[in-house]
Amino acid sequence: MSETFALSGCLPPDVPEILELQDALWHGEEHNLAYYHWKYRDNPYLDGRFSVLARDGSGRVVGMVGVFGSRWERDGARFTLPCVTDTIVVPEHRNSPLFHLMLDEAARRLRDAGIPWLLDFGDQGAIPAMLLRGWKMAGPWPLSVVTRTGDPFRPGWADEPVRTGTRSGVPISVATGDEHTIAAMAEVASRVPDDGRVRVARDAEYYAWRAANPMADYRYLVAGDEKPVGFLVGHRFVLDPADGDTPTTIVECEADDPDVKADLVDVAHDLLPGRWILLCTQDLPAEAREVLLRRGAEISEPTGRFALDGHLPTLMLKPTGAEPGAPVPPDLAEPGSWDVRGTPGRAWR
Amino acid sequence: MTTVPPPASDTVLAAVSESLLELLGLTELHPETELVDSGVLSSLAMVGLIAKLERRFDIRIGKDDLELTNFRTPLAITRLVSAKTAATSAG
Repeated sequence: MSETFALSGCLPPDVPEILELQDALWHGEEHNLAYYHWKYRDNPYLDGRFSVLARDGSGRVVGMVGVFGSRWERDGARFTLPCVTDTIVVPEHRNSPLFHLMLDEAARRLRDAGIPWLLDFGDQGAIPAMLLRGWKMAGPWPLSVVTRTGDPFRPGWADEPVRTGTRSGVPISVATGDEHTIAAMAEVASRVPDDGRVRVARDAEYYAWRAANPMADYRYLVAGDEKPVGFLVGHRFVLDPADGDTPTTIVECEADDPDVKADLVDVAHDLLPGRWILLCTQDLPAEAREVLLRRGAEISEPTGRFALDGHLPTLMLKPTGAEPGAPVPPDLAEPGSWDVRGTPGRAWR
Repeated sequence: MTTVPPPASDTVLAAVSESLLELLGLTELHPETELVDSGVLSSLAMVGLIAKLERRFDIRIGKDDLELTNFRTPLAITRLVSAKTAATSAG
C-alpha cells in the first residue's frame, strides 16, 4: 500500500467533485446539492471546515469524511461537538487505510483547533478497526424491531383522525414539521429535567434545522390539546418508495410522562408507514417497552460480540488529544454518560 | 470435570493464519506481516476474523481487547487467542 494521498479540507471549489463522489451515497442530482448545503452550510453549530477530502496522485477526489456540528448539553451548559458523516471511498481504495487516514486527519485538525472529541454514529462494521485506532465506544444499545403484518402503508397520513391514548387519555394528532410543531417539540423538550448525563440540546433552532433535511421524510405525532405534552418523530429516507419494504425509525419520542410516551409509541406503530418500525429502547420507560412487547417486537439486546451487535446503535468517540475544557465533560467515553431518553434514534443527525 | 489444556501456540498460529488467509483471499502470510497500518486487514475482514476466532476457540473478544498491539500481526493475534484460551481453561 504505497500510494500516497493528498488530504485537505473541503473548499467551495471542491463542491462539484464532492457531489459527484457522493452521488452513490446521496442518490441523485436533485438532492445532492440541497443535502450538502443543509448538512454543512446551513448547520447552525458548525460549518464544514473540518471535513476532509482525499485526492490521489493524479489529483482525483477519491474519498471524503464529512464532519458536521452537533449540539449537546449537560447540567445546563451547552457545547458543540463535531460528528463524522457521509464517509465515502471510491471502490478501488476501499479496504485500504484511506478511510482511517481521513479520520485521523479530521481528528488532527480538531486537536489543533482545541476540540477534544470527534463523534461517529456511522458504519457499525468499522467499529473493531476504529477501536484499534483509539476510538472509544458508548453502547451498543438495544433495538426494537416490529414487523408490520398486513398492509402497513396507510394512505392519507395528513388526514388521520385524532387518536386518544389508551393509557393517558391524551389526544394524539398527526402533524407536519411546521413552526407550530417545532415550537411544540421545543416546549416539551425544555421541560425534561436534566439528569446529569449528556443529551442533545433540543430547542427550536435544532428542530427547525433538522426538519429542513431534504433527504428525510419525517412523520410527526403531537400529544395534547392546546398545551403539547409529548411528540414523536418517525424517519424514512426520502427516496424510499411510499409502499416499499423499507424500515421507518422512530428518531425522537418525548413526553411529560411515561404513559403519554407509551401512547405515542403505540399510535406510531399504527400509523407510521414502513414494513418495519425500529426504535432504540435504551432509556425507554417500562410503559413504552410493554407496548412494544405487546406488538410482538423483537428486542435485540447487546451481546458484546461484534458480529452479532453490528446492527445495534452505537456511539463512537475519538479523543483528539486536545484537553477537554469546560463545558465539555471529560468522561464522554463512559457508556453511562449519555442520556438518550427522548432521542432513541439518530435524532442528532 | 476434565480440564482441557489451551491449544499449543503453533496450533493457534496455524488456525489464525488459516482464518486470515481465507478471509483475505491470500495464499501465504508471514507471522510478522503487518496487518493493520498496511490495510491488509480491512474493517469488515476484522469483524469476520473476530467471529471466526470466537467460534473456533470458544473465546470472547471484547472491546477491551481491541488494541493495536493485539492485532498488528498474525503472531500478535495468536498471543491474544492463546491468552484468552488459557484464561478460559483456567477459569
